[in-house]
Amino acid sequence: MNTPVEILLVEDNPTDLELTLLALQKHKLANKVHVARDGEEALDFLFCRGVHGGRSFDNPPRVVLLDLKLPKIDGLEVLRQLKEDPRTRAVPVVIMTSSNQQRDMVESYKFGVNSYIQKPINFSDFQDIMGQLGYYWLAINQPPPPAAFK
Amino acid sequence: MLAMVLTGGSVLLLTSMAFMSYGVITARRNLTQNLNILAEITAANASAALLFEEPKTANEILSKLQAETTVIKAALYTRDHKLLAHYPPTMPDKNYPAIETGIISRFRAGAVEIFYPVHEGERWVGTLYLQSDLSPLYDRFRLYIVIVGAVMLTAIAIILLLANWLQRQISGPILQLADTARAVSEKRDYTVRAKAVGADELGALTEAFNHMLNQIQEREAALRVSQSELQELNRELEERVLLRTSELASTNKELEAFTYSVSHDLRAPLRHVDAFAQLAQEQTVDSGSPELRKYVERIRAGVQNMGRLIDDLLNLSRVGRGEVVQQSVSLNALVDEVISEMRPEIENRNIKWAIGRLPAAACDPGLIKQVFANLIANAVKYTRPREQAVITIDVEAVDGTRAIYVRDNGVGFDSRYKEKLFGVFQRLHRAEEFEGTGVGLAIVKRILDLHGGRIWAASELDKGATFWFTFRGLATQQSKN
Repeated sequence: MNTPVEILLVEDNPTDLELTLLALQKHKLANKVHVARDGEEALDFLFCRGVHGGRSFDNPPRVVLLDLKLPKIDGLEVLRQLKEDPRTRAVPVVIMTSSNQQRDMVESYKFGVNSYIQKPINFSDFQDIMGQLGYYWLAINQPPPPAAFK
Repeated sequence: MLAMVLTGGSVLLLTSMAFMSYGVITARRNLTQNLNILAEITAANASAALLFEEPKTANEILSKLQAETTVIKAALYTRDHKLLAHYPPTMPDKNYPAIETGIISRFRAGAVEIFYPVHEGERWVGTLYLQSDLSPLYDRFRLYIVIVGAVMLTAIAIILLLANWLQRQISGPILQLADTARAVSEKRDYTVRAKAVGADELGALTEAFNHMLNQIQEREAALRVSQSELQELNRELEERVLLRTSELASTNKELEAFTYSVSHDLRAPLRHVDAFAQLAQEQTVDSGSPELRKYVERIRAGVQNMGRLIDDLLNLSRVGRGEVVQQSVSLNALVDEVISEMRPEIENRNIKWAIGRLPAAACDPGLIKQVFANLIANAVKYTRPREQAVITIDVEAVDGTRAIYVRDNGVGFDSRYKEKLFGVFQRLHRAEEFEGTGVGLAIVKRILDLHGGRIWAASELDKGATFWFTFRGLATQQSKN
């Protein structure tokens, strides 16, 4: 793993995964993506344990794109654990979900999510959003300095 | 009982004292009278002895007084007040009083004495003196006291017996009644009865009392029965309410889970359909089949429509699931917000807004804003064919209450179908004329239901439509204008 991971994409649905990668590809962002297929895998990656035991906390992703409905551990729980731990708290998290349920939005923001996006039905709109998202978090936004992870 | 004894005793005492006084007075009078008679007889016998001043004869005469046991002393005095004879003969002379003239009888020192003039014919020859002791009087007095005492004791004994008997006859049953009444009221035991006594007034009273207790007991029993029935009913009702509540809660929970999963899971496949349709569309650009392109476009339009439908349905189900807040809101501010948020849609339209001064109202600002948003959006939509749309929003009095109305000069609707206006998925226009899912007015109606209000409409085809609505916070809130 020479290229540092810039986007951690947490998505269980293969079709959604394919379409999201397609959209990222359109904006030349797909090669910097690591995919986790459920909440447990995402937490293993972020906390450098299990199969990701070789990773170090010094290389956090620039942004986490997190689905809410996930097998094993759902998105809200991943978010909660991430934002509770000082080693991972500063990692920007964007919730990407089909719903705009009030309950989900309230919970997400309470746990300290950095952005909340409802995936639009229109695919071109979705592609645009993915482009903007990648551009914003990877190019415009200043990532948290290492001191923010203490 | 004590009262009876006291009364009886004092009455008896007074009566006895009266009788005793009478007896004593009578006895004294008798005594004096007797002494008078004795004096008269003795004087008559002794007149000759006095005349001739013969002490021997005089002493003999006086000694006859021996027969009269009460006589203590007797004396005969001559005309010149000399003591001629005396009785008893052994008593020294100095023990006899000096003579006093005239008939004098008096009581003195436990005795009664009398001076009696003695006449021989018309001639006064001397004076007789007699003294009698009062022992008969005292005897009589003592006897009286004994009799009175005996009578008093007997009377008190009789009074006591009588009182006891009377109490048993009258006070007893009354006390028993009182005890029974107390037992009933203290223990709430309606089964006790007063003991029946005789056939007199008290018997009647006891019988009436027992009758009353009978009735109370019956009523009490009936009351208990109906009370327990009521409790049973109540319990059943509560059980049923609990059951229904839990059913309702679980239904609600299911409904919530359903809408949650609809919002998550129903949209995902739609996104996929649209995505692949778009990818296919991109391919058709190259392959160049115009028909295929149109089909794919139709697919995407259908997907968009479905997406809107899902969103609207979710919005409808969301109305009223949250809490309805109540606060004072300027309705004009809500209308202004709604119109400014619509700016992008209406910037190419020629719309004349006529917005009156609306009152402040107590309501949920978010929900009532939704009402305005849906009604104004409809007005904008159905005036699209008009060169100049005129949309009026104002307040007026209707049936004694205030109603807000939104009026447009659009295409209107056939008023024969106005009952259908507020139903879900009910549309009075064809989709190709005016887009929409038929949920907006249903949402409006539900919001007004939640506010204790209502909505109604009037229209004529092609002559515009008016929608009125009112709600509780609007009718009661005083206008701040």
